[in-house]
Amino acid sequence: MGKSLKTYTLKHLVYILLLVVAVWAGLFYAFILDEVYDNVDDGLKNQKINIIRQAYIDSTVLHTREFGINQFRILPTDSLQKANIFSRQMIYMEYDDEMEPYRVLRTGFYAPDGQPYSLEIRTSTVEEDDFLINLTIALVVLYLLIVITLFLVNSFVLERALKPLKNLIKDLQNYKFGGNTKIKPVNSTVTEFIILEEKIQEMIDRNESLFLRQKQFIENASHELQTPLAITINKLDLLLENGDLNEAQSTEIGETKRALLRMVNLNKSLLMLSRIENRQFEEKETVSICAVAEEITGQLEDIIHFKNLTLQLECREDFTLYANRNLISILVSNLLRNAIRYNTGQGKIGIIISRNEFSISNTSSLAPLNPVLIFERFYKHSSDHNSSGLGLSIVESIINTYPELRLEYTYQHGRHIFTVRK
Amino acid sequence: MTRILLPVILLLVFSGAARGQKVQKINLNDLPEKAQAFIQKNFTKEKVRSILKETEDLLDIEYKVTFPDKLKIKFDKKGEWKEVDGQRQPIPTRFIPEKILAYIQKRFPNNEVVKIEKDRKSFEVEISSGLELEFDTNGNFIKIDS
Repeated sequence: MGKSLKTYTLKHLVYILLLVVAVWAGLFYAFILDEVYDNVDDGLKNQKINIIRQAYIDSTVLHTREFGINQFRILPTDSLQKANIFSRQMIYMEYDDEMEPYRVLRTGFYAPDGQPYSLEIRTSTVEEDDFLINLTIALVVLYLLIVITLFLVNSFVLERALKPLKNLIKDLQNYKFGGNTKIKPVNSTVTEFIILEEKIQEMIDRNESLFLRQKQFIENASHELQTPLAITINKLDLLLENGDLNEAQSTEIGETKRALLRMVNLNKSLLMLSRIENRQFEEKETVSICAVAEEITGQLEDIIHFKNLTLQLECREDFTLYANRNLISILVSNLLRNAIRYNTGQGKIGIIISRNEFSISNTSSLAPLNPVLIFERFYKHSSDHNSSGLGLSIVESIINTYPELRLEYTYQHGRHIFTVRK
Repeated sequence: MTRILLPVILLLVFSGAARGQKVQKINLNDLPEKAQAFIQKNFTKEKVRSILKETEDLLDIEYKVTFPDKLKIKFDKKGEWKEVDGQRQPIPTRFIPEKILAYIQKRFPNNEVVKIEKDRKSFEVEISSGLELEFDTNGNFIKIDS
């Protein structure tokens, strides 16, 4: 099971966004700190000018040896450093009893008497670690918000945008040959979906027409085979009746005839299958399964008796349906023949009919069958030579003709059970 | 800007020096007339101690005039003054635009001009305290270069 389109894009976006936000955070941090220091430094430089100016007006300023309320001090020096040198220092702050970062400007000037002095000015500045923590929190919140927004947008917008695609996929999943051959229109303005719908419909139409032609070919082929087969069998009969043959020859011809008869049966079954699939049994009437079952058991009574089988027909309540009577007869007959053919000596056959389901069960020496394979054409048990392998395929085709019917195979208490439900 | 420009200029000057600098001692009369007039008008009291003519690459000529109290004046090849440096002592101010002097007097009382430089776009004035002030050619204050 792959990821849905939605999760796929979201997963990638989450990683990429993390990277983008991280890179952006680094840039933002650098820019903001730069700007803050620039501002603080400008303030300090301006203060320097003011202090020096004041020192020329009031010489007592020159004796400011300690950082006072003005946060500067002036010390006599021998080597004058006129350039502005900025540094960052941790200085005790009484307000919150902590060391706090200060920005310090060290510079120098000449007093009115020409003596050099050094000047230090300081001011409280941004706490970088606090700033970093706050920035990180803000960015984590931003990142989560973006991801949640993306998720919601994905859920609602993409869900809506991709709805036609979902419908198409659902239609394709439900699609069966010969079933509903039209997919639902996508009703979308998205070109890709319109093209997709068009192409899928074209593909289905092409497949359907190929399938139909193939079915018709099988039907025609089977039909055309009937006459030559009948003629061949007739000729063989004539040969046998003439009596000019010795015993060995008669046996050979008899075996040939039996093989040909099997071929005729096979051909008939194929033809039947094709006709059912080509919907050639359209006339419908209300059919009673009880009546059909009784009729079929009557026809097969001799074989049942011959094989020493016990048949139990139990018509609890009639199962009726509106269908083609011939098809239903073939359905019941095929299931019953199956039950007879694969039974054991002294075996049992049970037909139970109730209002919404009927089942045909038989004892057998065969192990439980694979329910997936039994309805395949030409699927037969390896020890079986006489079967055409088409009996259950015909049953399935008939069931498929009537959408209200379901067929299932179970194995219980040593019995193979085929159940038809409404 | 000056912080970047100054090293660049110095580099050019020194590289020029490396290529070929010629220093010549000359007399007051050998200065361009304009320079002679400037000295006579503003520095009559002083006697000139030495005059150097510096030629760089045979084209760029600069004159350096030194006075006994170490005051230095630089002239370009046309005799236009480029720099007057009092070596931390007040310099005569008659040639300095009135507007600049007025500004310094008003904003920085008790300060004297100790050095002035002129280039095509601005004046750079250093005052007693060591602060350097920048003015445009019309004498309007631009900024304090600190």
